[in-house]
Amino acid sequence: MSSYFYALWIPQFKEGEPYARKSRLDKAELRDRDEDPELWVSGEIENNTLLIRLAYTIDKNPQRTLVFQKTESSKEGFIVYKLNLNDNENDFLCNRLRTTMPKAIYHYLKEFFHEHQFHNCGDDSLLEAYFSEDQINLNDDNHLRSILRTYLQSYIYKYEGCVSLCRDRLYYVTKNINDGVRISDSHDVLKMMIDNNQIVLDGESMYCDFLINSFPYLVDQNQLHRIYAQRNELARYDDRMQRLESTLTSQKSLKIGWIGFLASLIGAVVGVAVSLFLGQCSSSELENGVSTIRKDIQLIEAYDSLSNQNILLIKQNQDSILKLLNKPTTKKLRQ
Amino acid sequence: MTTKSIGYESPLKHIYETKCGNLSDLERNLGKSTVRQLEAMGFIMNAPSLHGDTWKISDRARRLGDVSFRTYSRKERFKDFYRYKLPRMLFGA
Repeated sequence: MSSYFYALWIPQFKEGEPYARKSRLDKAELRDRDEDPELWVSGEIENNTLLIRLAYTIDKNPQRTLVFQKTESSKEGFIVYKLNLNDNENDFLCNRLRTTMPKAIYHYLKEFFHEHQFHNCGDDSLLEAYFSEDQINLNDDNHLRSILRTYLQSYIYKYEGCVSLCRDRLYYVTKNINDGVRISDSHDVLKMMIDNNQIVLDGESMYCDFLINSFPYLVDQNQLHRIYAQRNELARYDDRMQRLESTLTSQKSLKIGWIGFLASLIGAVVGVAVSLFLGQCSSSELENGVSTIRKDIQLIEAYDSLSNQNILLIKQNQDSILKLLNKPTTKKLRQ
Repeated sequence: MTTKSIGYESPLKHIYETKCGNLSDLERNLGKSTVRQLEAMGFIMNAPSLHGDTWKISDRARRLGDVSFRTYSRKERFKDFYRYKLPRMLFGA
């Protein structure tokens, strides 16, 4: 049987020994690709001793349990665990634990103690656990210095990665704006990057600062210089991104004015069209009416002229008409 | 250790397009330091496996990748024209 030691750091920004926030963790699958063997883990912790039982199954094999015994903990958030492994325990998880603690296992066990404040669990940074085949003593400065170096290195990687990402993303955004393409996308990228930078600079840096301030005499000065240099660089990039984002936002706010302008323009065009249409309708109807009236007048005039002609004719032939009218009457009288 | 910049055309795009794989392959392609940066930023997740550790892209990296590498559709072109180009043409902003 061999023993292995792991110094886990539970990120915190206040002094206080880590304690179990949960007594049991949900079953989780640690597998990145479908073609790999299934690895299911589930964990339990004893609240008093912080002893962890990690049950796991690989594919259809029977369940096995690993027991992590707490040997030490500190108010700065360190917990040292010891794992005993028999020589016959040689599946890939046990073999991996003989060289270091896989980041996925560390990430899973951290959930017993850590509360995510600045991001979701799925967005969590992966920390590398400090591993040793020898007993780890948190009161030994040499051990502590090595442990600190391991964890501060993770923050250096984080800041360097963020700076590098900002640099390239800023290049991508400015190029797009200059070319006049993907401006909406670039705006979204800027917003996302600013959010990300805020989480790193204002949130996660608190953990790093706590670690540095807890052991100022043990921190590697070269690491400290790199951390501050990268953090300042990140803050500068963040400032440039915020200015660019506000410019794009102000440009976008012109949209509101533009919508008003467009709506009024459309309204005006529609109004003119409607008035023209209505004007055209009334004039044609008027023309029809006028022509009808003209026709009526013509008809009346024609009727009048005919009537006048008839009256003249009647007047001219008045005598003969009277004669005709009187004739039978005289005959009748004579009879 | 070699380092490559985490940027538009390189590591982020690589992990966004590849999605998952062997960690050793990723280290070979991008450099160990870059892979450690991706891990520290929470852009990739790890899992132990039979033939060494594997990785897969995290939600955080996927969200950033979705915005950065989505196709430049007609809708997006229209949005750009309407939101930015036209006001710039009209108001000179």
